[in-house]
Amino acid sequence: MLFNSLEFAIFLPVVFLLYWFVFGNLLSHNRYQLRWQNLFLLAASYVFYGWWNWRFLILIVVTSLVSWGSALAIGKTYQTGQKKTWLGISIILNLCILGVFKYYNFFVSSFCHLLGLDDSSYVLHIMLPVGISFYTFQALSYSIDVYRGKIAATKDPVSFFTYIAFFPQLVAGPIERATNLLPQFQQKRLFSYSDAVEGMQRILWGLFKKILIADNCAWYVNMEWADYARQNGSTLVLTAFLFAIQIYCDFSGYSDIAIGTARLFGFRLRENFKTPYFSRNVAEFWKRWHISLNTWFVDYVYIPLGGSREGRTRTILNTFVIFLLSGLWHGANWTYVTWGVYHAMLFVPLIVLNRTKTYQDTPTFRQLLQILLTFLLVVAGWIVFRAPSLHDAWMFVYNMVIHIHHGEPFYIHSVFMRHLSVALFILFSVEWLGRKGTCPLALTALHLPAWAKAVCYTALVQLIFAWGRFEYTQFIYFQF
Amino acid sequence: MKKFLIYTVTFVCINMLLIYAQDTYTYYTGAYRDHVAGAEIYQAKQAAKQKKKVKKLLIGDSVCRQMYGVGQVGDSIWSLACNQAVTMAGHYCLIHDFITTNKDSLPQEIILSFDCKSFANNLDKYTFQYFLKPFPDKEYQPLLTNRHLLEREKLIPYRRAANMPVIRCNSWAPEYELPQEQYTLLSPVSSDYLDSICVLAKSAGLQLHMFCNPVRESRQQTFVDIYQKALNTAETQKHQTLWEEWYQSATYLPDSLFHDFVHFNKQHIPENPYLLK
Repeated sequence: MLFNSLEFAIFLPVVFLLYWFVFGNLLSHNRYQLRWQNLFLLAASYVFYGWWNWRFLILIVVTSLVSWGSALAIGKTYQTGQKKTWLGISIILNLCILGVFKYYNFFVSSFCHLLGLDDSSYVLHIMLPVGISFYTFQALSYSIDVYRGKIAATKDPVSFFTYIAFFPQLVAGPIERATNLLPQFQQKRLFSYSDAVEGMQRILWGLFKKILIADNCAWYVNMEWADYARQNGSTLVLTAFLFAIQIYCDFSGYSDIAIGTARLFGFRLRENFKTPYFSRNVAEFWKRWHISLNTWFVDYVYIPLGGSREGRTRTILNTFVIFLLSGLWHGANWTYVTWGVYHAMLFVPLIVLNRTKTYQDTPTFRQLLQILLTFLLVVAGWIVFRAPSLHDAWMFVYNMVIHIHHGEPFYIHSVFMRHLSVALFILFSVEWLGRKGTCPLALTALHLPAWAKAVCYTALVQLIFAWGRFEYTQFIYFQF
Repeated sequence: MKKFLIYTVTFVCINMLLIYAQDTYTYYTGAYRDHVAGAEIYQAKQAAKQKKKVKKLLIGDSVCRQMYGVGQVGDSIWSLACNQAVTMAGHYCLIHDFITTNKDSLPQEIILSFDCKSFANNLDKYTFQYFLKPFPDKEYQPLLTNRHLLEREKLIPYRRAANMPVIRCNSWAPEYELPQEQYTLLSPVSSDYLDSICVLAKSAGLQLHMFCNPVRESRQQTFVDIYQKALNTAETQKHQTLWEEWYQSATYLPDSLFHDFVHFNKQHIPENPYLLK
């Protein structure tokens, strides 16, 4: 079920109340209270995930079993060779599942097209399970961390299965680490008023970004992409910008709702976005965008390949590998691979010039220009990301440049632009002012009294309902 | 926990009241019709309730709407074209509204303009937004008693919520899929309501004509095959003249004029292809 759906609006309070009142308070003197609470969360998570299609549950259970079993085996043996074998089994099996469901058809079709063959006899007619990339990587990180000795293999299947299937972050991240999340399932959770309030603030902020901004941008972007060959260049420029806004608000909005929902249940998930469009360079952008995925690739691919310890050439090569894999992770299409390579090419000069640090201070005028340039470079990359094919991406850019003065200039209903402009002003103001805190909507920088904050939150809710789009548009990252 | 629940429930209640007030305001002023999904259907509904002395009444899907728009066309045509998603039942409601409003000065002809795919609609995932909400039970229940229609409607979740003002004045609709069957040309709902349109036209003394939207050349063979297969079925035999007119009126245009399967590019929309006067 989607976070912005009626079903979830009913599901969440029911699960919340049962979790704290029945499995929290009523069973508080029961020695198995924690296990019952985790079991309830596991059941709720499976209901949440199975709501799309109950068949998806088979795969997630298999992934959980493989990772849990292999980690137990790693934990039981002292021989490095056997540990490696069990780790290899976990990695191969999990990647095979991911490969078959996500990449098999892509590689087979590409191979057939290369040879001029008809691929219809070779492709599999299977559905891509929602969130498979996310929970597979989460399971893999557990196996690898057990092997590395960072965490002990858990003998408790309930807490582990719940860690994999935990519904707030199951289908679109953040990709959690066992070292952070698994211990939280193994210790008693106490209700915290401040955590619950912050959770609600995050959920509200996420819904604002998704329903009001992302879905409105999506309406326009989808319309223009469907007929881009006949649009004026300025229309296509606006389309590119609006897609950059759409994907940020869609994805970070989901992460906000996920983090906020987890906070309601007493869990702390890792941050996934830190105002990425305020980055001074691409290196900083990749430390602020989809942080959980990028750190995953750094910890489990980049560093094992040697990281930056083996000289500049090797560092550059490793960087290309990371971005290539990151592109491929996003989807089975050459556009994602190209997008990854594009970012690698932007990143490499920064390695050479040794300009990969993250800035914390308020930007100077020069840095503001750097922020603008970085944003433009990122927007250009999103064109390839959004395009259905490389040919479409090329034609989009071609039309954008060649048709800049041709055809009718862009027309957007003035009400739409007015609403979007106000929403974007609110977005960037709140996120900039709240950049140093964990929740932008806490509005701590403004030092407002509680009643004033309540008025602001009420105004935000009213804006969402007045200007938001409620036709169901799935979160973009669900397809990954 | 108690403090959190009290504050949250209070916050939610205040906001629900404000939303209800806002929606009630937009509902009763009619302002919602311009910005909800399916705004073109509300425009067609409004046009159907206007007193207009015209010779021809035009009903059609979104392609017809591209070609003729909504409202006055030339001197003597009034168009109620909207979207095939309203189903043939919705088109029947629009015709009924116009005839009821203009019973003192009826048009001479009703012209139907549809692509072959429009007849295959037997209610689908768009029905909640494009049919149930614009045509609520309170207003249209006497016209929507068809057995096939009611059986299919039962499969749509939260269908009764489509009658609530707070749901009607925004674009919310549940996500669902109805089991789809393949039809040669006419779905049961389309067949039944085409019959109803014919009966309505006859009882009002109006001529009924049916034209086919221009077809893209790459679909020509498929279009011909569909028609040939449907030719001797009971549904088409009932209105043989109408179907023959529909088939004969089809024109085949180059694919380059089309933006998708059926719709024209903005710059290639033909003007008055049926040469209506």
